[in-house]
Amino acid sequence: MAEANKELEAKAKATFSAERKEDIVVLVISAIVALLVLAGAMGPNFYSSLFFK
Amino acid sequence: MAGGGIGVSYSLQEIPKILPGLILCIVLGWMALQWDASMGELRKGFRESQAILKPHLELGKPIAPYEDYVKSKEDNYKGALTLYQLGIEKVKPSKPYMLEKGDYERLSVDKEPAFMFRFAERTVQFQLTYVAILLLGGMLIRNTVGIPKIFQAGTIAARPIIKPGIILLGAYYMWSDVLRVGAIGLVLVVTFVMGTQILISIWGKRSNVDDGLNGVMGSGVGVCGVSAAVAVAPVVNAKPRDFFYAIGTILLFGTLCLFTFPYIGKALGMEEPVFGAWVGTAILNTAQLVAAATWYGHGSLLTANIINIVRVGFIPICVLWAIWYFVVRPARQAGIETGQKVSALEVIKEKFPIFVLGFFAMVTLNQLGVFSPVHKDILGRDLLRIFFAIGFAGVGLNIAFEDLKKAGGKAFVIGFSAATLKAVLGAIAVIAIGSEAFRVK
Repeated sequence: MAEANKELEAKAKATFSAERKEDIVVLVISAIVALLVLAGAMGPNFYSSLFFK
Repeated sequence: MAGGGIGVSYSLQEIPKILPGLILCIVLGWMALQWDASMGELRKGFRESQAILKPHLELGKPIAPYEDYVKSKEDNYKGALTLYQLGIEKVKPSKPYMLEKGDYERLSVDKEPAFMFRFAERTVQFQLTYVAILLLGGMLIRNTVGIPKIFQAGTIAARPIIKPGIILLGAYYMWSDVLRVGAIGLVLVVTFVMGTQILISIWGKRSNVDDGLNGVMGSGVGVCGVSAAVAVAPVVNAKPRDFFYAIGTILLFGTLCLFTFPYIGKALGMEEPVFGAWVGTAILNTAQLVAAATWYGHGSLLTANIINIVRVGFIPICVLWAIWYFVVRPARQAGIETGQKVSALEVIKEKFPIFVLGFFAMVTLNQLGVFSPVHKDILGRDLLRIFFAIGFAGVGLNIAFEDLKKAGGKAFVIGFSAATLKAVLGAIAVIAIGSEAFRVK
């Protein structure tokens, strides 16, 4: 039982460390996207150009 | 999910493992958005057909020949363009939508919009948008043909791709909106979310449910689904079985909410901001909450997003509550020194979902006037849909009936009842408060 609890604790720690890493990745992606939009690399027609009419 | 990355870590070594599933989610997301784009075009046809038919049906006027229809449309556009060029109109007119000749002539004969136009209009009535397609379709795939192992890690990793969408949506808000709706959201969160956790903790204790199961269920059902349950599990010494019971309950409740709330909201005549406030309070999981709000409408998403940000910020507080209620308080009552020194600051530092800071940064940039209306639409509508579509594909593909079956026992009854009570009281409260208080202008 103690081992199972330790395992769960380790899993919880690993999950939070993964979530922190995931949040950093998400922040970086968001910053890049925002910069691309501000720089005009992604314009108003970017979205519609991805789809067939 | 505040995070939702449970089971997958983002590192370079993991890329080959997650790539196939991620590509699958991108493809499914694109297909669903293509469906939306096609239906959007067809709905324009429906509205145009109705506009053409209106004078005929109401005043008995004959439907003009196609050439006259085109000429009138072009003349109107040129007129509007001239007014814009002269500076009389501030908004540049967009090119008018025109029916194709075949559709127009069929309309003249049938006196009703073409079948495809009517079909597209029906999809709106049944809320069959990209959100529904991805969630229902993903769930259907997962529980019928299944997902081959090669795709599994990637579909899990796709779920947090919703988060950049949440951050970019920050470009739509001013701080006044965030503070106004956030303040009401704070009251709702404290009342309903923390209230649910406290209710479950006390009810569970009185019903002799294990502390472990009780603590995990309380924080999971009360605050933020899986993430809060994971955070609290070690604090309350939850057994792995307790953990999976709680997760099963959270997922089952969230899945039921996700597919029923948009229809309940419509049936109750909830306006978009009210619905957003409701799902922000009642649905336990960020991905499911965002999906339900997006399904309902953009106004709903704008409100739900703020309340969710407030809610996920409560994870550290929920952990502190669990430490006090399940560890410190019983030890004090028994006259035992726990030996555990709990630093509130450490807990907050460790458990705070830092992606929320990205959202605040976007709000600040918008407040400083960095984003033009065009930028806002690209960030908060177009790109948001791309991120959400990929994430929702991951959410749908990970709704497995076998996970939902893990819910059970006395704690399930308590957790499910408390979550349902929270949803019902939450609905009454947000309807009573009214849409203006929750509207993001």
